[in-house]
Amino acid sequence: MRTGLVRDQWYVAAYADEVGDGILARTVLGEALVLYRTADGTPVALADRCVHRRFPLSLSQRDGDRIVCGYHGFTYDATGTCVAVPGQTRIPRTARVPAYPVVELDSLVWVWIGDADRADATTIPRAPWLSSPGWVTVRGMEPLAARYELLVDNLLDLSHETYLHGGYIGTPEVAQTPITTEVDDAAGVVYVSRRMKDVECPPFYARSTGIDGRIDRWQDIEYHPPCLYLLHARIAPTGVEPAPDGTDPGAFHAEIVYAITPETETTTHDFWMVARDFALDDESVSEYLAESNRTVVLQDVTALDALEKVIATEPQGYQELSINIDTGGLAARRLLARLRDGATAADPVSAG
Amino acid sequence: MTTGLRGGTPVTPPLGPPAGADLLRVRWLPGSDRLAGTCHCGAETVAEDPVALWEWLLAHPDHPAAPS
Repeated sequence: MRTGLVRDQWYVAAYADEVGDGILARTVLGEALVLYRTADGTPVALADRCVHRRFPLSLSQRDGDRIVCGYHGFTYDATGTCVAVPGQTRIPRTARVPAYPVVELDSLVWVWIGDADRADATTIPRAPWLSSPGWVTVRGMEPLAARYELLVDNLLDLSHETYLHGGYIGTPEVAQTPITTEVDDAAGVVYVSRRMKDVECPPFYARSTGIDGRIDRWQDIEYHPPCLYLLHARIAPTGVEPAPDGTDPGAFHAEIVYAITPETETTTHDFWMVARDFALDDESVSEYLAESNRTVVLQDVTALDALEKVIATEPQGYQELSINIDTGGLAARRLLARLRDGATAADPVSAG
Repeated sequence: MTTGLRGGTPVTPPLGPPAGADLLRVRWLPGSDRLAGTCHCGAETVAEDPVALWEWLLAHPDHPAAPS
């Protein structure tokens, strides 16, 4: 399976509430970062390596909005500029650590990995329900010992729910229901839609919504390569349709969001979120969804970690087999390849 | 458009691509193993292999007579 990191892109480095008065260390695309928040609330991302003798700034101390290297005291401001060195007044001109463009949006902290001059915050895909009134979100992050492309494959083909997540979100109908896949080539977005009618309600939704009976279940995926994956899930008692004016008061909506952030070529930060527009004040629903979704994510983690080991030992040129369920995953691979190669022309689809 | 059970939500997640977008579309034909592909130029074909179908779609504007 072809692999490759995509630079000159925005990636979710952290949840907003992870970035605060302390110093958060996180590696994104092989680049070790420190993240913190200045007194005025601005998130900052700097390279996690003192320019002097490479000491990790993540093992250092804050001094207000500055970081003081824990080895020899080189002191950096929020732009990465060294403002003090030990024992002398002259600060070498090259005393600076790289600072990364950072944007806080929808409760996520995005960093730009690549040429900073190309960073355009308006291109960051949105998930506003993560921080919007009328929605409640549970979330977590699991380390994945597998390349990010395996998680993309996993999430673009939800038929695996039937087999890997039975008893939680998987029911027989998921794998049996045909999908429609659409690609907006200009915007670089993949859409996969699966509409299930009069089907079994999996425990994940039965317990959280209180629906007792069969349901209509919609899964509408949006994948914004490389990092953001949105699954718009609609659950309703079977036969309950949206109103003609577009409102949908008889249904339950869950927004399943993943930020797929490569840590290295073969490890990934698996940020997962479940936002809902029902049972907003019911803490037991939050606890149930958080626990159940984490269980589901860990089932994926176990499977994808195993896949990474298989890939590491497989012979060169191994050819996968793709079938109808893989239509969305293939589309995602092509868009990733296009980003990776910086090409604007259509690339051939790679099955391998 | 969706709204919540609590009398409307300020944010309404969209379902599907924006109106007017140029789309490549693959529909899995219900009751069969076949896939129907539609290019944004309107060209259509049917295939059983998603790899071949994507290659056909991406050949725009020179779509072969049928997926290889």
